[in-house]
Amino acid sequence: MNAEVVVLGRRISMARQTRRRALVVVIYAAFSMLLAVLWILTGWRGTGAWVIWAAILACRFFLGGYYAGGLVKPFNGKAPKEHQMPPSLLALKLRVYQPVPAGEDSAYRNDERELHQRDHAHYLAFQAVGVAVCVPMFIASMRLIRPSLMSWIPMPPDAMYYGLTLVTIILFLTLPQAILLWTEPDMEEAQS
Amino acid sequence: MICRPTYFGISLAGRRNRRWLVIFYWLIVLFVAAGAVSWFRYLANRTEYPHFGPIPAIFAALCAVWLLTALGGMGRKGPISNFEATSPSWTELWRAARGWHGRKMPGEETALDERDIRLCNAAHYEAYKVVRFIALSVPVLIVLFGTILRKQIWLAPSVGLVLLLVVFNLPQTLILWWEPDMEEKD
Repeated sequence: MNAEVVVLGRRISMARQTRRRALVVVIYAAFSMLLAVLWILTGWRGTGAWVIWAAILACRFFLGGYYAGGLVKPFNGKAPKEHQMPPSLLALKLRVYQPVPAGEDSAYRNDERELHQRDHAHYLAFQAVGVAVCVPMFIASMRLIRPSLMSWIPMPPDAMYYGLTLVTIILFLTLPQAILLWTEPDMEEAQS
Repeated sequence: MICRPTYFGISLAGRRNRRWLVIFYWLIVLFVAAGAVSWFRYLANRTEYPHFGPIPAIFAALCAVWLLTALGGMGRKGPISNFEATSPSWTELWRAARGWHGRKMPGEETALDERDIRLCNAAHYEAYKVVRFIALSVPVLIVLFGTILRKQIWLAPSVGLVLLLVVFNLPQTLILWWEPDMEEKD
């Protein structure tokens, strides 16, 4: 796991567990707000994909894991693609590029302990995602079996399924990385 | 990890048998899913609750619950050890209290060793990649077939049921598929 994250050119230390936990809370709070705002403004019509893009960007810049960049090393252990071209002018202007030191395998390759942690985080995430799949399935079944029970929900069923699907996809994209960030102890203490 | 020598009379020592068991299991899942589709379609096309009551729904729910735990992993039945097994089951304790535990003490069979835990975690990692791909394809399917899906509301719980079974049983399937041949006990 990387010990710092680059935000607009500034290096922010994430060695402390409390900081990483705060980052996880902020990311999920941002997702909740985004979902709420998009529901109020558009009812997720045509804007649901934005949530998925936001999740991918959060992985790209902060969480890592399935995407290069971010705190968690790539799960597949592959080196990020080396571009012959220099970073774009926009990336330089916004200072969002993250240079990867050449020849440093430890920047992306997981050791034995990290592989074990990665697999265990996926085991834990799998349980939560299983519950997340149960909820829309249960609601969809109850809507057909006992429609009267579902009449109190102030939301069209299609929108509800769509919203639950978006929440499930966010969890699929981010939960293993969030578990790793949440459970990893302080890095200074681990080194001493 | 594989805690039973046989399952429904099929020896689990050989990998080939286990792979046939996996194929057979997923064929049953497809069969139950087809039943669920027809049941939910029937419910969606009737405005009133069917006169024969909730028996088919209860039967379908029981089938789904049985399929959820049939391969093990969750609960203490099925060929795969319980992933969360850290303590002996009530049955084991009850048998031990009566001196029926045989040569093995309570919890000895169910607790996972280091290799089992690694295998369990690795299976969940591989399964997660598959399920994540399915989850990411859902919005694409909604965009492509949204208008059809909106009219066929009975598809939602049926797809949900299949997804649920995939999520909860893919790791067990991978373990049964991966594990090498074991020595048969006399």
